[in-house]
Order: sequence, then C-alpha cells, then structure tokens
Amino acid sequence: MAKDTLKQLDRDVDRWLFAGAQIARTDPNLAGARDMLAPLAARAPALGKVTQQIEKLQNATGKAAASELLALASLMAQVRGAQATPALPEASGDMQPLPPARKIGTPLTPTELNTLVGALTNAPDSRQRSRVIRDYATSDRCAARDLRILPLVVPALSDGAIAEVVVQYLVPALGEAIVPSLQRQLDLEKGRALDVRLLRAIARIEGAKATPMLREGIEKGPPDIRAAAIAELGRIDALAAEPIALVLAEKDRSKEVRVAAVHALAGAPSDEALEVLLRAFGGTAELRSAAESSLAASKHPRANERIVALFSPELRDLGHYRIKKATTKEEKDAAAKEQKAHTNQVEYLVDLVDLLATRGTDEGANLVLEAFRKHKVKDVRDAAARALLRIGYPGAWEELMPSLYDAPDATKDDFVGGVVALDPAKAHERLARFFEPAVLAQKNGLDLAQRILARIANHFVELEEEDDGTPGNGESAEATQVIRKDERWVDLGVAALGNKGLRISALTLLLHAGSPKTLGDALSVSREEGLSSEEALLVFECLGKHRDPRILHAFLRLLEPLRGGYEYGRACNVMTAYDDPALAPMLRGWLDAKQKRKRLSRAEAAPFEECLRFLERARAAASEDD
Amino acid sequence: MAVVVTEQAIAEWAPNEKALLDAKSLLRKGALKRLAKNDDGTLAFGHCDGSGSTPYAVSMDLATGADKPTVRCTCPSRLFPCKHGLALLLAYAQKGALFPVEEPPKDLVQKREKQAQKAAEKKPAPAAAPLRVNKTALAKKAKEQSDALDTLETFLVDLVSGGLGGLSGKSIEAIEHQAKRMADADMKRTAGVLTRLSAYVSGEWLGDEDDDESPGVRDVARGLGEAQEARIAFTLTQLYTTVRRGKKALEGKFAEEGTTQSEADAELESILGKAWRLPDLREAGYWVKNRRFLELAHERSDDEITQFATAIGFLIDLDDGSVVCEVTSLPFHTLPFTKLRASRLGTLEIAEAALYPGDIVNRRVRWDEKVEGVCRERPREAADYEAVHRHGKPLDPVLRALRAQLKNPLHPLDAVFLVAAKKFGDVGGELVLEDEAGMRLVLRNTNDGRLPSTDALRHAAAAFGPGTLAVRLHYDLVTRAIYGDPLALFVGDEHLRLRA
Repeated sequence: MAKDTLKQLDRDVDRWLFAGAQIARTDPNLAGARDMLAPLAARAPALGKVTQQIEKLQNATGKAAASELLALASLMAQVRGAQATPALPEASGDMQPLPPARKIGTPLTPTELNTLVGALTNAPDSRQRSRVIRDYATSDRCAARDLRILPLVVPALSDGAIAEVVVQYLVPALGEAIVPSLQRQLDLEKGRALDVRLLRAIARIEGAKATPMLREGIEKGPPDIRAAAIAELGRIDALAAEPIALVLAEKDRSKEVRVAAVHALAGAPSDEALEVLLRAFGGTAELRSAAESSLAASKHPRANERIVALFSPELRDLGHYRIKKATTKEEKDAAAKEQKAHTNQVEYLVDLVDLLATRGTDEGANLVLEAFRKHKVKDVRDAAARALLRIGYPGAWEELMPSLYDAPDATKDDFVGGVVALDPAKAHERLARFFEPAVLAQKNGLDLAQRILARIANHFVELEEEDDGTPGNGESAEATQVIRKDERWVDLGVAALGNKGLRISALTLLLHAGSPKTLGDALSVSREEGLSSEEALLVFECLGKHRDPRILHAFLRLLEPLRGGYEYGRACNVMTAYDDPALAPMLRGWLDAKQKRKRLSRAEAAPFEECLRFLERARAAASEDD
Repeated sequence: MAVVVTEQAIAEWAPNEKALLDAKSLLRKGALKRLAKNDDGTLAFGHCDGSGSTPYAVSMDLATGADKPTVRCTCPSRLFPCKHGLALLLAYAQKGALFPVEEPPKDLVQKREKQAQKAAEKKPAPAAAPLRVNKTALAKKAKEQSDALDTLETFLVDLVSGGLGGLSGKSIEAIEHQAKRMADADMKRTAGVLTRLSAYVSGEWLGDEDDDESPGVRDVARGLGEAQEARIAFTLTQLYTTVRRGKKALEGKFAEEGTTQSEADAELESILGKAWRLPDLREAGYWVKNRRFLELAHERSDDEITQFATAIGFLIDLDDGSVVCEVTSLPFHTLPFTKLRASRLGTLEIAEAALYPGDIVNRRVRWDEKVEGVCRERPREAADYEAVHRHGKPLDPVLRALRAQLKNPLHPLDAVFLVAAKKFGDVGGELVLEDEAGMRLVLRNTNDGRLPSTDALRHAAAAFGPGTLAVRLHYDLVTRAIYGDPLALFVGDEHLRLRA
C-alpha cells in the first residue's frame, strides 16, 4: 500500500515541477499522501523523512515552497531508486523458446563494425561503400560473418548502389545463417527488384539445394523472377537447366526470359542447344547478344565449324544499301523495309565478327582480318578493327592508323588500349609519334594525344588509387608494371607541359606518376603567369608529393589563381598532408594579406582555419625514433 | 616478447580507414615484392610498389618491447604506419609463416640495435614534484563556486516557483547563461547538465530545428512528450541535489551525514570540478595493483550537445569480478588528428592503475600508458573465459547493487553487470532473460541504434544457447522500471559482442 502511495507521489512530484510550487503545496494528492504515510513513519524512517518533507512543503509560502518542492523531488528520487524493480513483459503468458538459428560469431571489432555498418546503411561519413563491403566479405578471416550485420542485409539489397556487391560477396560470406531472413522476405509471385536479388542471393548460398525454389520461380514467377531463376539454374546445374531453357528460349512470352534462357544454355552440351543458340543468334538484337556470349563460351565440338559457316559468301559480299527511287507509298514502304533488312544484316555481321574474334580460332581471325581489309561496309570494317585490337592480333593496328583521327572516340580508346595490351614495352615507341608537332597540328591530333596521356595516366592511378568496388580500368597488372617502369612516359609528360592544349593531361599524368625528377618542371610551371585554377591545383598536388624548401613558396604562389571554398579546400588538403610547420607562418601571412585585400567568405576561410589549426598544433608528442 | 599481429590488431593500428583500404588494395594487386623474415620471425621486410620511381623498402619489427610493432617505410607519407607498412602487416598476418627466411638488411639491424640502445638508456622520469598549493587561489575559487551554487539555487527556485510549464525562449537563454556561469566557476559537469537541460527544453535533443522565421532564437519545443518531461524533471532534481551537496562539500560537511570518503571524493570531482591526477589518486589510496582485465564491451557515443565523442570499454576484473570502465573522451574538433581508445581484444595485465572513487557500480579505471610495463595485452586463454563465467551473478544481487547506485540522484541511471542466464525466451514479442532462481528481466535497447542488440542476442542465444550475459541495467524514467540492454554474450570460449 505504502509502495503504491510512494509511486503515485513520485509521479505527482514530477507533475508539480511543471505546474508550479504553489499548486503543489495545496494539491489534495499531497495531503492524501501525507495522511497515508504518516502512520507508517514510526516503522520506516524513510517514510518519516518523506512525511516531514511533505509537511514542510505544505507549510512553506512564496519561493520557499519551490525550494521545498525541489527538496521533495530529490528525496523521491532517492526513494524511487531504492525501490526500483525490473519491468514486467507487456504481454502475459509463458516464455516461448527462440526460433532456431545457425551459429555465426561476431569477429568484427567495433571500428570494423562501424565501418561496415556505415557502408551498408549509407551513413553520412561512409566512403567507398562497395569496396568496404567486398573487402570485409572476402577477407581471409571471414570478418563479415558477423551476426550483428544480419538485419542490415535485406535492406541493403534494396539499395541500388551496393545491392550487387552484397549479392555477389557479402551474402555468400554470411552463408546459411542469412538464408532464413532472406526466405522470409522473398515473394516469388510478386517479383519486385528486391525479390530478384533475394532469389539470386539464396541461389548463391544454397547452390543445388536451391533448385526446387528456382523451379518454382520459373513456374510461378513473373518475368523478372523467371529470368533470374533460369539464369541461376543454368549457373548451378547446366544439365538440369537445359531442357527448361530450351523451352523458355523459344516459347516464353517475355523477351527478358528468352534472353536469360539463351544465356543459361552456354554450358549445354546437346546438339539441340547449339541449334537453339544459332537460331537465337539470327534473332533480335537482345537475343543475338545473349547468344553471342553463350556461343563464345560453348564447348560443343561442332561450335567453331557452325559459327564460321555463318559467315556466308553473301555476307562477305554485302555492300552499301543503294537508295532506290520511290514515288508511290507502296514503293516507299518496300524501300524502307529493304533498308531496314540491310541494316539488320550489317548489325548481324558486326556481331558475327565479334563472335569470330572471341572464339579465337585461326580460321575465325583470318575471316575477321579479311573483313577489316576488304569489306565494303565501314561499320563492319570498324568492328573488325576493334575486334582485332581487342584480341591483340599483330599487324592490324599499323594498318588502322591512317583512319584513326576520324574514328569514333571508342575506337580511339580501343586503339590506345590495344597498343598497350599488345606489347606494353613497345607502347611508347608506337604512341610517341602522335606527339610530334606536325601530327599534333592535324585535325583531331590534339584530341588523340590527350587520350593517350589520359590512358597512360590511368596505369599509374590504378595500382595506388582505385576508390570503388569495381576492378580498376581493366588493364592487366603486368602492363601496368611495365608502363610504370618506363621512364619515357614521364619525359613525354614533361615535354607535353609546353603545349597549352596538353598541359592538363600532362599534369594529371605527372601527378599520378609522382616521379621525383618532375619537381623542377612543376616548380617552373608554378612560376608561370596566367595559370588556370585547374592547372594550379594539379601543380599543387604534384608538388605535394615532393619535399623541398622551394615548395612552400610555390604553394603560396599557386593559391593566387584559386577561387572559392572548394578550390581552397583542395589546396588546404595538400598543405595539411604536407604538414610542414614552416608553412604555418607563411600561410597565415598570406591569409592575412588576402583578407585585407578582399575579405574571404566563411566557406572560403574555413579550409585555411582548419589547415592552420593542424599545422600550428603542439608537436611535442611527435613520432619517436628513426 | 614479440607482438602478435592479427588482422583485428592491424585495423586498430591503422591511422585511418582509407590507409587500411589502400593497404588491402596493394595486397590484392600483388604490390608487395621480395618478402622475407629473419630466423626468429620478429623482423619482416620487403619492397612495395608505390607511386615513386623505385619500390619502397618496407619492414616491421615485432620485438620492440611495446604493444605495437615498429613499422618502417621509405615512402614520403606522413601517416604512420603508412599503407605500405599496413600491407606488409596484413601479408604477415595472413601468410607470415610462408615468408622465406633471409638475412635482414644491415640498416634494419642497425636501426633495431639503436632502438634497443635508446630504450636501455632511457632514464626513468624524475618523480613529479609535489604541486604547490596556492591557498589564496583555492579560497577564491571556493568563493566563486559558492556564489555560483547560490545563483543556481535561486535560478532553480525561480523556475519551479512558476512551474516548468511556463518555460519560454527566454528561459532557454537563461539556462544557457547559467551554464556559462557554472563553467566559469570550473563546474563543467554541472554546466553540461544545464546545457543538456536547455536541449531537452528546446527539443534539440529530439532533433527539432529552429523555425525559419526566427533564425537564431530558440524556443521551447511544442508539446513536451512524456519522456521529455521525465528527463527535464530528473535533470532539475539532479541540479538541485548538486547545489545541496556542492554547498556541503565546500563547507566540508560530508563526513557529518555519513557519506563515504570514496563518494565524497567522487563528488569533489563531479560537482566541484576537481581534476584527478594519477599521483593524487595514488596518494588518496584509489590505486590497485596486478589486475587482469577482459573487455566485455566497447562503445562509442557522440554527444551532439556537448560536442564530445566518448569511447568506453567495460572491463571485468578477472580476479574480483567487478566491472570497471575505461573512458576516453575527446572534443569533436580534435578527432581528425587523434583517435579514441580502440577496443581491447586480448586480456590486459595491469601492473598498477588508478580506480576512481565513487559508490557506483562501474568505477573508472585508468593507468599511465606511457610507463613501460604497466599494461600488457596478451591473447585470451580458456582460463580467462572460465573466470568470466565464474563471475556471472544471478539477477537478485545485481538488482540490489543497481538500487544502491540509484539511491543517489547524482549517480547514473544505468550500470553494466555480468549476469548468469539460465535461458532466454520470448514473452509477447519481448526478449526475456531468466536466471537460475527463475527471476526474469525484460531486455530492451536503451536507444534506437542502427543495430538493436536485442536482435543480435536473439540470434546468438538461439544458436549458441544461454551463457553469461554482459548487460546494462537501466532505469527507465517513463515506465519507472529496470530493463536490460544486452552488450555481449559469453558461451564457453565464445565472446559474442552484440552492440554496434
């Protein structure tokens, strides 16, 4: 009884703090509590104290009442603490056992967990999300096999930015522990984008065990689910998938499913499957594309022979479409139809050339070379050129050069990539000719030279500075090593600094190459008048990689062309990383002078303040030894 | 003794996340070349491709006598260790056993010798001279604090006299002014409580934003919720208690009313802003020797109101079973340059440490990291886990200890304990712990974090079974009852950390 009274009094005191002391002292509940507790005071001294305090409050007036109310609140806090009891469950009933779960530990340290959770939930400070997830998922100690992240996996599958990396790496790393929660969310009949990912994720973990679920998906699911299910079934068990894929590839009403079924036939060994793939190759663009990749991987013994046979004399001799004179509507329709058929044939031939090159047989490659040299249609010749470059077919790129300047951008990039891939050691000899003054003066000559510099710069970036989950620029590690060791590229970059049109590309190359011998050149660029802010920032970053007393003065010179918080921020990042205490007074002097000339806005001044705070910090606890 | 290199340890040594990611990238791409180690495996060295024209020479020395390896690299990075050094550490952790044994480079051996020589020559720091007490300054400070407490009392009385229901934008300004006044009198803890009170009143605590119409002027949140009201009332009670006890402390009257010396000393710190130095704590007897600690849980919290980040490690003393806490607190603006204390993955062997005073369950423990030999972290052993289970208690004594703490309004409303759980189950959707005596505790998270630890416990308990639970018991001001917030579950030699 006393306990209930005290509980009520405790709540009343809180209420009175809001209502005011004058209301409290005359509240009937206060008097009621005193009457209830007073008789018990003799037995329990604590109750005696409460009763006394209530009386003091009742008898107090003016500000004294507020003081007594606060004293009562303090006393009640003590009483409340002394009588605190555990909460009761909101519902009554027996304790039910927890649903069974698979063993999975918590190997992530708090720091690692915070990073991974940030990546999965897109926390404001998270960076390189895909890369973080992939790194943890593929770590040797299976760091991502942590039960704390299980609740985050399904929501992450709905996040387009990371869903793919979650399906590919994280979900398989978590293994069967995550399957029940994925299955709870999966709705095969609904077929949302999330369901497709869930289905793929479950199939990746369970492998052959998922076959019944995949079959169910093919039977009951909407097109997206059917397509994903047949694709996964083809990956898990090509033989089991073949009969289903054969039917779906030709009979399913959804194009997406037909395409997926054609993909699923890649590993199918039967004659029937080869026939279906060849028929699909002659079909619509999407089907042909799927058939091309499946045929490229086909292990059927007669696959090469049948594919070469597709390059018929009629296709070899295919010429340009000749526009016919049409006056009536029927004639115009017929001409349009004929033109469309011709375009389809050209597209078919382009894909066929690609397929022949990918299969990589001598017979196929010779056909492609023949198409490059002799075919009447330019699109076919371009496709053949790209294909030859892609497979590194020797002797082809020399022939390509004359037409290179007018080629589409993609072809130019293919060409540069092809030359590097073909023989990285000779790439400089082969590409340096494009930097001769006469060649640069040609139409599009500057554009090609910029592309070469950018592509070469990529080789220096890839190893050091890849910053997302995707695998770099696709160059092999070997080619990267050869390019990085070839000092002539740095010399070429230095030489290109003299050309205004190439300067930014050259500075980018030199920045990433970080060669010590470029210091003098970077310093001399820093002394030039009229640098653009982009150029100044690149020189800034180049210099930041070296150590030299002249650099501090160069930093200050290079601050002049910069404008705005973003550019100042980039410059300050370099100076912060440079971390030279001698820079602090110089920078402060520059900043004061600048502020006198024109007051910087808060956003502009903030990076400098931050940088100066870092540079001017106490350095007593600097690193020891060495 | 050589340092043990594990991937977790490397993650803690990394200066920042990017360096670790870059190191992993270097490792994946095979940038490390010609890796080798010396005959006893305490030196590893090699080359790492980088942006320089020649590969960087990178090495690590595990026999440094410290708890971290010495990593050296010829790259110009100012990060320590750099990404190349971290890549070498990762390679060593993963495949160190496969490194070929080679004669280490001469310069490396010389550097090692030089370092050992330096360590041997290092003279012990002279004993700190006793601080001279400036009695006049002390008296002046006591006067200022007494005045500040008087002002605070008047302020609180004025607030309550009219009732908190009549709070306005001006009241918030007045609270903030009062907070400044307390900070000026070196009573920062009280200033913090006042700042928190102003945040509760303005609703900033709940993420309420100012009205666009009146930028810069804060107003009282519209319609205070039950939780907000309870917090405000409790904060006011705390402030009033602070005034009463602060005055007594200034008058030296603690002894008269039966307060323990430990609690009186704690209140000197919490109310009057006394900053304990390690020698002071040693002199006052708040000093323990030869303790073994194992971290139960590690938490980081960011307080947007005070702009401080805090890392707390809850450690169990494997000998006496008490749960203490290791606290690091840093203002936000220093975080780019310094790191909060990382999680402790091994067992700590502490030669001597200060155990802060106070009649609370989780007292603060602190030792001087810079003194050689004071702290050693070794891999955990089966006996450590046995000790953890041995110290798991039933709910009844644990609840009694919490009640004793709650009796003082100045004490925190929560404390971390080790509870021996007989089973976990579900009652109407709520997770419940039951001990050997059949006593039950409802488990509920104190806040809506990104990862509810109750979800993690459901999975862990279902998969591993019951065990010893590290749990934060917290008194909820709204429901006026105690709940458990699970932190970690120990089952056999498994330590399942449940919190993010």
